[in-house]
Amino acid sequence: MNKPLKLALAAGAVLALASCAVTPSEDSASAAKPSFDLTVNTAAPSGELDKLSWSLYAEPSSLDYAYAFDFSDNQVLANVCESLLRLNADMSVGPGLASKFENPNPTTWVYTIREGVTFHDGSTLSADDVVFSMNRHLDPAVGSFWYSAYANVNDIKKTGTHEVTVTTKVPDALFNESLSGAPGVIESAATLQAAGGDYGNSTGGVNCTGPFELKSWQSGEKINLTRFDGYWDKKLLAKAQEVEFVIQSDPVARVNALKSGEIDGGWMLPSNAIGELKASGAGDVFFGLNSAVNSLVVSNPEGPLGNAEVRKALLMAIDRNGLVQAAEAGFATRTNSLTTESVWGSADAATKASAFKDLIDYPYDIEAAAKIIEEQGVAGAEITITTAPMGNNFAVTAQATAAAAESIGLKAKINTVTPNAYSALFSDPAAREGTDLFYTNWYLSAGNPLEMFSILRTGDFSNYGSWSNTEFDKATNASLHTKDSVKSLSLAVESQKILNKELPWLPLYESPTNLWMNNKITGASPSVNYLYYPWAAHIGAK
Amino acid sequence: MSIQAASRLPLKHLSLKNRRWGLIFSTSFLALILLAAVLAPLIAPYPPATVDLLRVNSGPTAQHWLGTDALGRDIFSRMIHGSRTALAGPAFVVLLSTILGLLCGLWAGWSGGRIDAVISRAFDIVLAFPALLLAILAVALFGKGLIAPVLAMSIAYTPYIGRLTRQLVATEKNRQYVSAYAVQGFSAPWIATRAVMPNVLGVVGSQTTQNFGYVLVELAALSFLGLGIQAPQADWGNMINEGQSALVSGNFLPALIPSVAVVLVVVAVNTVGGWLSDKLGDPFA
Repeated sequence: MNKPLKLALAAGAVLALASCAVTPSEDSASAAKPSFDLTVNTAAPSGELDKLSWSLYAEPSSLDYAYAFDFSDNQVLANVCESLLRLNADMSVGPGLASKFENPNPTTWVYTIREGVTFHDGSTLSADDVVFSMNRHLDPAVGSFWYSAYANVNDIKKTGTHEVTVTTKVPDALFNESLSGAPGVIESAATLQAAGGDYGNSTGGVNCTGPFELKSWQSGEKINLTRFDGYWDKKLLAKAQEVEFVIQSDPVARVNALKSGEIDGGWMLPSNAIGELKASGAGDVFFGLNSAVNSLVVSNPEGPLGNAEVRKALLMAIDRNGLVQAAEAGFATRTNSLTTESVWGSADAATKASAFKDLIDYPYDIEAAAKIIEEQGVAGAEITITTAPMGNNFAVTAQATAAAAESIGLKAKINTVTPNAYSALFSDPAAREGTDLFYTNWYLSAGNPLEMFSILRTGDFSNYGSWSNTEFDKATNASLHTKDSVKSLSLAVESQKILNKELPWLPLYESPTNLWMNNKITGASPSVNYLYYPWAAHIGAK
Repeated sequence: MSIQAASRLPLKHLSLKNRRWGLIFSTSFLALILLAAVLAPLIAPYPPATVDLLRVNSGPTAQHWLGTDALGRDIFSRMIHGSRTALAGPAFVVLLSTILGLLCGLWAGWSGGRIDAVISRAFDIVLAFPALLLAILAVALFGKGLIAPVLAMSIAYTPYIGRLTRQLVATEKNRQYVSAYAVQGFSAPWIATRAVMPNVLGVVGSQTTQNFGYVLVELAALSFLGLGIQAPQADWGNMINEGQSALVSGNFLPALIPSVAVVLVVVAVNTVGGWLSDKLGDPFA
């Protein structure tokens, strides 16, 4: 037979087989939302592991805590470098490298530095290391991405052999809690000085106090950690001798590696693969507490979306219930807020209820939205949505938003950039030029909604759309400057309501933290604290 | 085996009956695709960009013959609309590269000497760069879309036509009918363009047809990489790229259907190109 004809027939046969193999999902289209329970702790391990392999969806841009600003950076760093305070699985804060912390007056925080802690190179942790590490956030030459946490800091001083005192210009309700995340990471001052510009990259490495030490970083391939036997917290000594983070940016390759057992586990599974992973029987998918909200960041105040009415219209044109199904396979919940209930943990019941009660809903209504666009005189105006090939949720959200914009009379252009260029949107104003809107899965490092509100104050580093609202600034600052956490959060309700009304970012949905562990391993807690807590130390043999 | 070599499968060694059926299937299929491209807005059951988020990756149904993609868009409609860019891009490349290749090849083959040497070396230089690489470079310089890659690929494919034309013209110009025209006082440009050119067009035409298939694959690859046609416009390469995300949930039709379409069109075009070579004389045979 003619070879091209053979090929054509073979292709046709494959197509026919495929049509048979894929179950027509009239049902799945209208399928009920999948149910998922939140797990606090998984079963304790029964033994140690020689090696734990872990899937990393992207290569960390840096392991320098001053620039560790993303999921991929922090889930690795959390096992190597520790903070003054520890973020627990329920998002509460406890002692870390600071064995004690006190707040003698509203603008003073005194930290007692834990004794007997050594860095991976064997040197001893001192108050000088703490002062040096914290002061980097205030150094303009460093340009820390976490400067916002230190914006109110007056000075950081060693006030005893094992004591560091931080004074703030005004009371700051968020400062202490933020030290449970990257802003509170402590590194050896000697290492920081010696490594200079190479600190935290694949050649310079890091030298911290965590239960694992950085052994190697093969750029684009993998990062290897080895157990640190001199770790101070004997209850948290790592059960795996080695952790290998395998960088897998292709979701299909990731899922196949997890299903086949080639890789033991991973965070941030593609939601549309959860069903397949569960069905494989090779392991379990666990869901846990999250502090992240998936939203659209409005980044161009000069464009049509600089107008709050246009933003409202666009949100009304997005079928957010549909988005939950299409982008997250139903493993998410539509939201009108930029904060999750989980970060209001310190609030009293009345405050929490008030924060989420009576929020404007912005129901899916194309007709009403189109009318607003017409009234605002922006019909035909173009918006550019920047996205990256980073998974189903990115692609679906960008295209669904573009379709929504077109459906109400705006013109929408999708600009697809590389994952690295996408990451730059969060740190480099030049990278945001020409972009009106981009998608984010924005997590909070502290269990406090003020972290979200503070970044949307006028002029903040992460206020990407240069949004400014005097009432909001006033309300947020009032909460931030109130020492009593219950009272502070009751004041923060006002900020929540203003964001809901003005929509500087468009809230879409919130989804739980997800985790895959295959049948050989157990021990991790599926909580968003994996970004700052040494979660890998818990994992051992099943 | 290289793509170029694979395209020159010895069709002439196959039985006449099989070749005829292959040709009938291929031409019919290409005609169908061409018709679909021309009549896309009239025959597509749904607008290609209409999103239905509650009906994603639905698989084939009575409403959606080829199912829906990750945004609930009708795959059949997107395939029909995507055939426009799938055919238009390669058509422009083939047209431009053929015109340029014919002119340069004719000039080199007819003139010989230094001009021939310069043009031939220029072809060698261009041939040193893979077409896809040139297209990516063009995208980096001039932006994503169809225009920059089409222009870059037109340049990249010019040497294939140019070298062939040069070789054919160099052979033709030593034939007696050329001397006869010269003796009768016809000018060299007239002889080259009016007498020699028609004699090489047939063979060049068969090469052009085969180039169409390669360009289609490369433009689809470019869109697959996110550098060609941009979402949400329907394009086969784009559709394969977007369909990838559904693979992890076991829905492979959104990626498979446009992939198969690319394969079928390339096979059909190569079959027709092979037949043309046989009919008109394959210089590589």
